[in-house]
Amino acid sequence: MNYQIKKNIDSFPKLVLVAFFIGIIMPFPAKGQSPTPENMVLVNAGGFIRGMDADRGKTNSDKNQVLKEKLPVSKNTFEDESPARMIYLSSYFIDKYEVSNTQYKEFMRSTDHAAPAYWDHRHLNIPQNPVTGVNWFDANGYCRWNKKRLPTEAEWEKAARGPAGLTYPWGNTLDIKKANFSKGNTGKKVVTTPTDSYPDGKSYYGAYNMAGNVFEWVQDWYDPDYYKDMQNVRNVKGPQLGLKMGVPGKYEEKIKYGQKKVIRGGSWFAPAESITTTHRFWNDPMNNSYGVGLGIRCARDIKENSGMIARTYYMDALVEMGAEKFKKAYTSINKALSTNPDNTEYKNLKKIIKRRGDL
Amino acid sequence: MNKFILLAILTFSLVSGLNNLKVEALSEPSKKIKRDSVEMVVVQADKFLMGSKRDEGRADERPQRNIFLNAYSIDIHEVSNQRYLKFIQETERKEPPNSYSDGLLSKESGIKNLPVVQVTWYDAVDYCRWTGKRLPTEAEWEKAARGKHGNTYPWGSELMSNKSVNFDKDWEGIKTLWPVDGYPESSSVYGIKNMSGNVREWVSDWYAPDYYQNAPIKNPLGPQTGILKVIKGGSWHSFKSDIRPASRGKGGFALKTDGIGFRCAK
Repeated sequence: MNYQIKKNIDSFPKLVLVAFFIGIIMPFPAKGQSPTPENMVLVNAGGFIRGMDADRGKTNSDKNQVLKEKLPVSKNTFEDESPARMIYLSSYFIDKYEVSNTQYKEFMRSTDHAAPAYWDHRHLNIPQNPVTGVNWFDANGYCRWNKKRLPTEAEWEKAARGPAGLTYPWGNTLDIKKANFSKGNTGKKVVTTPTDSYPDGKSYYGAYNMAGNVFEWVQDWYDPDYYKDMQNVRNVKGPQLGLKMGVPGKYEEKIKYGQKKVIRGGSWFAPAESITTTHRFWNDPMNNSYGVGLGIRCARDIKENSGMIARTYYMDALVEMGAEKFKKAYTSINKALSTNPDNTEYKNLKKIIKRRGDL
Repeated sequence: MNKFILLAILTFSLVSGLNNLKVEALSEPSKKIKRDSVEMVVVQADKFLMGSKRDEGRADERPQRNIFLNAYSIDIHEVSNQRYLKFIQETERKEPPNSYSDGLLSKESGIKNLPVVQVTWYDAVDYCRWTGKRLPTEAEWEKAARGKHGNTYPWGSELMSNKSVNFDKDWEGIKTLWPVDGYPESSSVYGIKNMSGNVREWVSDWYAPDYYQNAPIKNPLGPQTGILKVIKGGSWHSFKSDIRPASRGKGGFALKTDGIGFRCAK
């Protein structure tokens, strides 16, 4: 069945099917794995659908038009989420909640780290609400101090949308009761909500507020064309450097030129269009306060045992076979079998590769 | 008839008063009509120790260097609500958001002498310009707060409790910010009040993390450009390391909080 993975899969439903398929053939690697740390959730190794095809984006409530009005960003940016494709990630942990003011305060007290931009904002500095007004360096520093790291953009997206490729963490339709974002002129003063708010809006993996509340910094540099790179499909880490954003307009005036880091998830005053699980936005890594509400969620590696390394080679073999690179796939499956020679899954795949590649 | 004469005299004195003002303005083209009653102190031209020594403070405030500044004067108080609201009324601007209730700030009682907050960097620049002044540079601000010899705090080297300095506190409505008059024991060597805590203060410089390594040693004006502006002095909610005048706060020029205000220089 594995040969169903083709090189250029562009139809979304097919991708969803494949995602489930991969989910089934890659059961949870529970053996020898470290227990899930407190207030983190486990995201299992396997494939997920990253991005959204441009044509789908267009029909999706005229998303592009809305974006065009709100943000003077380059034309590329409207297409920066496409094409949708299958990406394979090793297992990792990700924070169940956004980092709170209380947690950030501990970090400041113990390291003398500078206060975030909204530290003395009486509505945003509420202890149980997410810290906001941090730049990328603050976010990175906080995660490191906590013996964690920022998630990659792909890790963030997988944790938000789950194996079924959802548009929102909870499903495929917008629901104003499930996230804290700008809901238009309701007359209410909207600010951040506690990090454990909107439990009904949590993701498949159990992460809260991945839509709305505060934008979250990820590790990756931003390049609107990054998804068009068809080579890179396993444990992707983003481009080497970000694209220099030189787009004219008011936002640009503020943000100036230079390389940008990706931010994800939308915030309490961001429009509905920005809280989808695929929406990519960017900001200067130095910026802590222009207009968006910048917060943190950390991730952590899982110490992989040899069984999991074999699993990664097995995943490689699947991908390479899908790309009809049978020789490479053959090398990879042999590496997997050299660690786990008795694994029947691996043996079966080797047979398939041999037959399909005439090896 | 008497009334008419009185009116004529009044009119005359008004007009001549205006004439006097005009002459003043003409004789000193760089200075506009004085609209701000706050006391200022002159900081004489001299070198001072700027930044922090190795193993002190944070990376972005090192190294410590001798920096020369021309003479300048600086407000001894943070800009108060009363002074700021006068500017708002006379220039027909929109009032800043009221931190104390849902009503207008100008209708709030008991806040006249508290520092204005919820102002952007542009608001601060406009206010200072309107009074014929400008925002201080980061170097001017730091010298005014620490004096020539690199004091850690405006009053000396030891931290004071938050009974004399307004920091490390939670929001308590109208009691949160302290009147701009400050306490004499926490003044800087030049007699300037509230340089540590109360409100953080906008200065004119762009922020760059390596500026203290690369700045010119005479009259530094900050980097040419940047993403964030420098905000000095920490506020009511800051911890001790953020109220040291060498410490360098930062924020986008549209940032507004309940703890950011400013003072002007000339």
